[in-house]
Amino acid sequence: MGVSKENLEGLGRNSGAAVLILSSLAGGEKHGYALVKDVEDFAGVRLAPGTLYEALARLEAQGFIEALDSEDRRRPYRLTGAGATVLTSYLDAQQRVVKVGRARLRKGWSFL
Amino acid sequence: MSTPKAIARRAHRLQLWYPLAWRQRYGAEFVDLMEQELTETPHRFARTANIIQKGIVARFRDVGLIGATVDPDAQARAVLATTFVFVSAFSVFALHYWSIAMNLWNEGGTKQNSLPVTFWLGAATVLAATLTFCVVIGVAALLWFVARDLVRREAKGLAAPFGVVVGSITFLTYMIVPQIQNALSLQGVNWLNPGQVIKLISLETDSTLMSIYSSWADPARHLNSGTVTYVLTPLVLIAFALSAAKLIRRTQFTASGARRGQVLVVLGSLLMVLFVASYLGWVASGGPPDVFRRILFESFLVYRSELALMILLTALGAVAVVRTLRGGVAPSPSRSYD
Repeated sequence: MGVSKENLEGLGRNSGAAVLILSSLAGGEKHGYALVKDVEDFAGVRLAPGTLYEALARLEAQGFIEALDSEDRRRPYRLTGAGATVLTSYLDAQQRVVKVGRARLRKGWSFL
Repeated sequence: MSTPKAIARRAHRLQLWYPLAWRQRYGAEFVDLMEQELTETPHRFARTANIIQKGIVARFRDVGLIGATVDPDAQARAVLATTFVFVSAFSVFALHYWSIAMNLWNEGGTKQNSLPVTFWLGAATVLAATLTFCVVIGVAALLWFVARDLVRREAKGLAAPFGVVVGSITFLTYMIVPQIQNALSLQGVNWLNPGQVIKLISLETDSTLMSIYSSWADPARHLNSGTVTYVLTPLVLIAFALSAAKLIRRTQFTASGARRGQVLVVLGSLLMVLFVASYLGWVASGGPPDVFRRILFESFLVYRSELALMILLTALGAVAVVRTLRGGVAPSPSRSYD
């Protein structure tokens, strides 16, 4: 079975890193190290180099991000239209989960 | 405190965990990232472990054994190439094991020549021959496709591996010519009798492979101008299999050629499974004499490691078949990380 082009669920264990990378690139194009620092700043997670490049390769192959030309070794990546769409739909789904989860916690676990 | 030069060296070394195709695409930027990482935090075990783990995963993905089918064409090609390497290696081991069994059967008493033993050995004989035939046919078809592409100048990077494959075949032919001459010189052989021909083939196969093992086990004792070809043979076989695999990944197959390749993958893997099963059947039915059984399974490192490799190759071949049946061999070349 192939990886889904329409959503991030097909990324399996990589979906966490993929969402962080797409979210970072939503703020503008970045190269590898800038991505690591940005993700660390906004999510408090340090992406390990192997995990970062595994996710970058997968996202690029799926057309969710694209590598830009560069004259030096630091090749920047940019979010594509498909990547923006898939990130939006993923975050919308997560937001629904957050909303339901919070509502139920308020109802049954208000003492917390 | 590490110097920038030392950091650059370490960063470069770490990318070597990844396969060549990956390094060609991501290597430079990965080294750049690692130089900054190592400057900031020189030593972090978890980071190194992560790179090693992902690098090994990338290598398995590169040969088509794991990973989601982001690029089914590239993956199918990788699986075909990998299975070819497995089947080629397996067929050498299978020929060795078969020749041992056949020689024992020819020399054996009543027990070694009982009906069940004969049945399993017959099955192993047919399977080893079919396996070798598949490799030969596969290589011939591959060389035809590559020669066509070379003439049309349609694909890049074919000339060097093509040269290695042709050179390896020439070397291996040179290797077996003396064995054939030796067999032909024997008196009293009825060449129309298949039994006698098979007996000769098994004797020559066992003798050649044992010469190779002896040359490697104790090169100081066995190595001379006459045995240098025995020492070189395993290296030539490895170069042959890897170069043929490279050709498979770079050649433009026609749609029918690709389908036939897929059939060969399935057939090759099936033959490996059946050969192991028939060999175990031969052992279980009392094929090897007790003394030989002890040598084979208790003390002789070469035989045990060979058997373990055969079983490993069979298992990996089964994985390759599953992946082939899920995908398909595409009639156009592409690479995972291009």
